[in-house]
Amino acid sequence: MRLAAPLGLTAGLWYPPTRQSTEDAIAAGHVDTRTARALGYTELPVSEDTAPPDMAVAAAQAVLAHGRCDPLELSLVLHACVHHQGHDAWSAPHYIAHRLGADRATPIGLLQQCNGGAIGIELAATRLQGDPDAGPALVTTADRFLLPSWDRWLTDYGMAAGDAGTAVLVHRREGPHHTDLVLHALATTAAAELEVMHRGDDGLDATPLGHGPMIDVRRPKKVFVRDQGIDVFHKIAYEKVTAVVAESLADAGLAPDDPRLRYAVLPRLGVKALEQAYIPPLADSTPAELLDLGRTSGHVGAGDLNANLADLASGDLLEPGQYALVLNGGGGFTFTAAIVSRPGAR
Amino acid sequence: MSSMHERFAAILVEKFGLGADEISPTSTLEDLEMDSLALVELVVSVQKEFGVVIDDSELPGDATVADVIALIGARQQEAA
Repeated sequence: MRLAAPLGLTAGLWYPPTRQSTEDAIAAGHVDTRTARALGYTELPVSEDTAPPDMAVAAAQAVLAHGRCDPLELSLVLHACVHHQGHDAWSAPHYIAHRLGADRATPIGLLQQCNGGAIGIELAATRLQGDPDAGPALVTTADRFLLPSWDRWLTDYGMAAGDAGTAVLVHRREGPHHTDLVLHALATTAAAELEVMHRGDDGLDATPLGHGPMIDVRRPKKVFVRDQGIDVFHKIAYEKVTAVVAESLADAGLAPDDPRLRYAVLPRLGVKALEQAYIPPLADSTPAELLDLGRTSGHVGAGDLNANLADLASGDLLEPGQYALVLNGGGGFTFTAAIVSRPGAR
Repeated sequence: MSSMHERFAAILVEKFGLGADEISPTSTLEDLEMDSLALVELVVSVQKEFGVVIDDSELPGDATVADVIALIGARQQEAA
């Protein structure tokens, strides 16, 4: 997505105070050592007491304050999640908007699996470009992964899930709004033929949790591996990641080896999954240093890309004028790459 | 080494990139760094090579190469 003009981002992240170390998880029998080693996480945040929409509110309040944005200015509140938000037949995005005082915003929920937060930023950018009167847009994500419905270590392959809320304010760099990062380009591509990875050979006639009391993503993925082989996924992921990296860099006006491109930031997946599906196409596409920010957070549901933006925004990883490519993917499948820079130097 | 061992070792070498010298009858799945998804790929490959069905839940980390080959042999006998 080529932007008419770069946009401003302010990004933040909320973690619960409790964490489970991988060592403790192994000792408790929550995960075996060989799987823990393949995942490569050192610990995971665990939110026993705070529900996902309240995590999103906590992240968003800090971001709005830091971004010097009155909630009444917001035109959109886009909320993405993977798992249950704490109530049925109810709108978490509306709850978040109301708690923030974003009374003029349109709250919208995004069911995009693990790329939902990235898609939220893309939709926010589209709104800002398409409607000159639209105020800033807020993108939140929040998930927690608790038993009995989700086993953070065992529900899926290739990742363990951490609980977190994220918030990203997207604005035009006008007025008083603070800019942590400048968004130069976004590219997204889908591989809808891979929806079967998360469905297997199931029909669509189940009741909620009708396939079992705990969500088991491994079960349909086993069917996919049996029927098609994991190499099919790796081949498609290679092509799609290569495509979004090339498109986003071109739209940002950067060559793959531009010295200003400091990092290529990875999704917060397990190490082995990254090595098999994401690192090969990324490393073949750009010599930028690979950056993995997920070892102490786990995979944070719909918010990996947004959490990575938050860490780039708050830390000193990027010097003024330096760029990062932030890559993500999510079940469906959808792949997004965003190009951001630290403002202050040209 | 039995031909069963050689055929099983060939799967580990070709599918998982292990070195032939890493694989002995006493090597455990843990030693071979076979995580949960790798086990699913392994049982698919075993089914193709040996024509028997094994569930990945039957392969604990302390199972040795010899244990897995014995399980394959037992399944082949059951099917015979």
